[in-house]
Amino acid sequence: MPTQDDKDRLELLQGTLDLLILRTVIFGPQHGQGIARAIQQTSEEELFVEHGALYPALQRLEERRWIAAKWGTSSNNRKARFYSLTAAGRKQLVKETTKWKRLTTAIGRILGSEAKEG
Amino acid sequence: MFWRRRKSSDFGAEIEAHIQHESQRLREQGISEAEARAAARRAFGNLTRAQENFYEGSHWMWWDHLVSDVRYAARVLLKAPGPALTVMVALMLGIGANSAIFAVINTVLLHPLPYPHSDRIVNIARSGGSGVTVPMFTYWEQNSGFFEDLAAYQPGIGMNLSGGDKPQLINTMKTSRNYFRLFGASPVIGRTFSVEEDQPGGPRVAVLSYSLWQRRFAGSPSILDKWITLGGAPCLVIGVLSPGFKPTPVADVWVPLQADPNSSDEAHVLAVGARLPPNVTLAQASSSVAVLVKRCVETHPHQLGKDERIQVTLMQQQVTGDVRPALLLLMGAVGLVLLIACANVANLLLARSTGRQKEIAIRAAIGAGRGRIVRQLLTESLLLAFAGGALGLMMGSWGVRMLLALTPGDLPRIQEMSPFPTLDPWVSGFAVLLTVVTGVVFGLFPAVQSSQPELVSSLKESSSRGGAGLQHNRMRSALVTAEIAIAVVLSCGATLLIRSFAAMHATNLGFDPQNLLTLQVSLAGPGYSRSAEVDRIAREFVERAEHIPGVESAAMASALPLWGRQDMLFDIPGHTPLEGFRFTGDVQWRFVSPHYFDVLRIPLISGRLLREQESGRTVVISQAMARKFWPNRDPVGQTILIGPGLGAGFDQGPVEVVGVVGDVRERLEFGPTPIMYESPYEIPDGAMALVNRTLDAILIRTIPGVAPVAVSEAVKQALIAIANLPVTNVRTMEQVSLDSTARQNFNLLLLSLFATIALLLAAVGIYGVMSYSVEQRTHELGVRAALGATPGETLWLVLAQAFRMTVVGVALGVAASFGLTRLLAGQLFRVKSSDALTFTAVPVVLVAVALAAAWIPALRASRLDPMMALRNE
Repeated sequence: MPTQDDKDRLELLQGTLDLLILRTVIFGPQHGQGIARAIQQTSEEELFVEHGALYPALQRLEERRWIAAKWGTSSNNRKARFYSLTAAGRKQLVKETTKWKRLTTAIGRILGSEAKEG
Repeated sequence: MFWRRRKSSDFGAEIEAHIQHESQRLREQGISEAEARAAARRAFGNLTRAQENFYEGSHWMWWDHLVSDVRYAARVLLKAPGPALTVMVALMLGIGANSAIFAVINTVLLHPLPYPHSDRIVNIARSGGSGVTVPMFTYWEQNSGFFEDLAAYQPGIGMNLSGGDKPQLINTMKTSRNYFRLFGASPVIGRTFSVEEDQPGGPRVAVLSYSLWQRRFAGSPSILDKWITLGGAPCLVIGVLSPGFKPTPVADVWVPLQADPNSSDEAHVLAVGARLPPNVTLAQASSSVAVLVKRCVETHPHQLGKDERIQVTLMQQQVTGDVRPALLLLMGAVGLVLLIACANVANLLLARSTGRQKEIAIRAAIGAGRGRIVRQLLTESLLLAFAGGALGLMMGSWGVRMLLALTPGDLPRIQEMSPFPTLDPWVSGFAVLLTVVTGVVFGLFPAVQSSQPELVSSLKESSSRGGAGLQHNRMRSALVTAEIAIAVVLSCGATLLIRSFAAMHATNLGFDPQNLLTLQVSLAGPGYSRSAEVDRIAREFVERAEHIPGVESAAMASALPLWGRQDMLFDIPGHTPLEGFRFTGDVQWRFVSPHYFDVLRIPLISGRLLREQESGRTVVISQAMARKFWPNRDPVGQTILIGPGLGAGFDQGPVEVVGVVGDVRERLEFGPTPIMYESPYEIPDGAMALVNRTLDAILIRTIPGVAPVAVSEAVKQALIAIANLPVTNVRTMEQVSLDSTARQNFNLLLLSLFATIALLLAAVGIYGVMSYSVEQRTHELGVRAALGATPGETLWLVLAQAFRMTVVGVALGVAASFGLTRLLAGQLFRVKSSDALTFTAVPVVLVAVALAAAWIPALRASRLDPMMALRNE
């Protein structure tokens, strides 16, 4: 049940949500609910996306033209708005991923030395 | 790149789809429908917040707020149209009047002159404003390479344009060759004067204005090299100027000056202009001119009086300098009117905000910040201001047209006024600025005042007895007091001008102006340059005119009474002139046909009047001249020289004084004028040509019972028949007398108009305040009535309140007027700027107006039913 697992899940920083959305959508058009599910599942339930925060994020990304949206029908015949990655979005994804990797590597080096010791 | 805003409904649909998906998924896990939906909702978080965030993120919220504020303001104003209309009318009057005056000031004072490099163009004239002589100008022309495009011109010569259609009197200017280059006038066809044409004795050529070309010659290019008859002699048209050339002074035809360097003409008739070369200052130019003048006077001794100097001033200054003080005064006055209008607006807004305490408290209670409330209230006042301002701008354009209809014909640069003056960006910008300042300044104070309500008390108390009401009342009384003070100032100014006008026109003119028809004709030009010809015209005309039914007597003269501008030197042989002067004096001089004194009913004092035939040159003088120059003797029989030293064209020997006639005032502000009257026949040709440069006058006295205008057609025909003379300025003598104070009339009319508007607005303000006050005091008045106050006593109570408020305002106004009316002192005639009658009458009138304005609310108060009043919460 979502409510009981809430407290265990990690809250996402706003900037990283954008990155995760872009990464999720790379595999093909997906609607908002699907994106949220995908993030939760792929992170093995570690990451929790507040649905209320998801849609504004999608709106932002759409305004920046990194994703494109279209209304369509979902797998269970319900109307939904599907998001797909644009070329610019792809570029942005690459950029952000690189940045993230550099960041985590750098932090990891600092923490990692401690971990080794610890 | 345009981002098409995604609709809120679209976003809402997406969220709804999400919720449905989520609840379906939960239902598939076995949860009931209701539970599933609720859980889906919870998982989403705050739906409303998400919608709001989306909305705020994708809209310019300030625009949103603005639109909703404006809509709300409009609704509120439409619900209570009365006060809104009052405010709009007040602002319309205030902003409209200000825009109209500003439009005039903009064209006359602010715009640079319509010539290229107009800030470098200077005017060179005698101190005192009059022109220079021909010899002096030609001396400058030959000896000063210093200025660029030195040019002389003689404006305002009315000349007859005849040949073809009916003859027409047109405005002619004699100019030297450089005039066109100096003022940047280029011909649209043909050319301007060549060197040969500007030489003495050169050919008679003319350049036409574009508008004359269109009006009279249908804009046909065949006008070039055609002969027209100008001033009675043929003249060749060599060019037409472009339509954009609108000089001050105006003209329709330009002819060459043909100034003779060898002339000894001492008449000061030439206006001189030039352009400063680059890098030369006005001061440098002045000193160069001073040196030049000194050298000139050495070789030509009499070109400049002993105490006279030549001044170099900027042309813009010279053209507009006269009118500047009056226009600025009017601007100040109309600004005061706007202040009163604004005070009324502020009062209204304060009154309304008092009544809205409850509404504002509610807004604040559900979360509106102070700034938000202020913004909303300010939007209301700005909306009102803009509505009033827009109306005002429209009214202003009509106002300008009215102003132009009223202006004395000699207000400079009026011809440059565009047909839609309020479309000028400066003028409309000014109006917008006024509107915004009005709306903000007078909306801000009430808005700020009421945006911090004491929530609890406001929500609890009855709307008409809010605590803030008392403070507002004091503020409003103060505003009305200020209005009254301003109205007093304007009224005092207007009354002073009225008294001055009455004094001027009550003076004894010295002749009888009733039943007199006047017209003006031009005898300028080569066709009339011989006295014999002028005399013939005068005689034939009088002969014919006196046979017209309804005419008692007729006369022709070189100038209208009150409009004489020709001075002439004279000398009494054997009489020692004053220190520094060559001759005895310089007095007004005109020629008149023999019946002149009968027509005007000027009495004969001694000697005789001019006869039809004289056996030598004779002159009749006015009493003032006799008293001044022959204090102890009867001048009849004495001889004088007229025009001594001016050459044979003027002075051909002694002239006998044959009579003295009654005094006549030529200027209403001054005492009786010394005048010399001669008959046309004996005047030397040179003098005749000189005096005919200005329009001559026809005077007709009609028999009692016949209106002067009734004979004007017949008179015009007579003039055409005799000499093909067109006429202008057909007026009665009374009209002429009125026109002689044209500038003062203009100021008077406007200031009176402003004072009236101010009084009206102040009355409205008083009515508003008293009305509201009575409403607020309903409860109290009800108690009084219940305790035994009669209606009469209640009436007095309210009137007394109004009276107190008024008295303070009047006192302030009178005090201010003592200082401010000093500004008018220069225009007043026989009236002190602290005139007692004015300063008593105006306060009385104002108190009366105030009491009248307060009458209705007072009456309402006295008629209150005590039961209703006490029940009224």
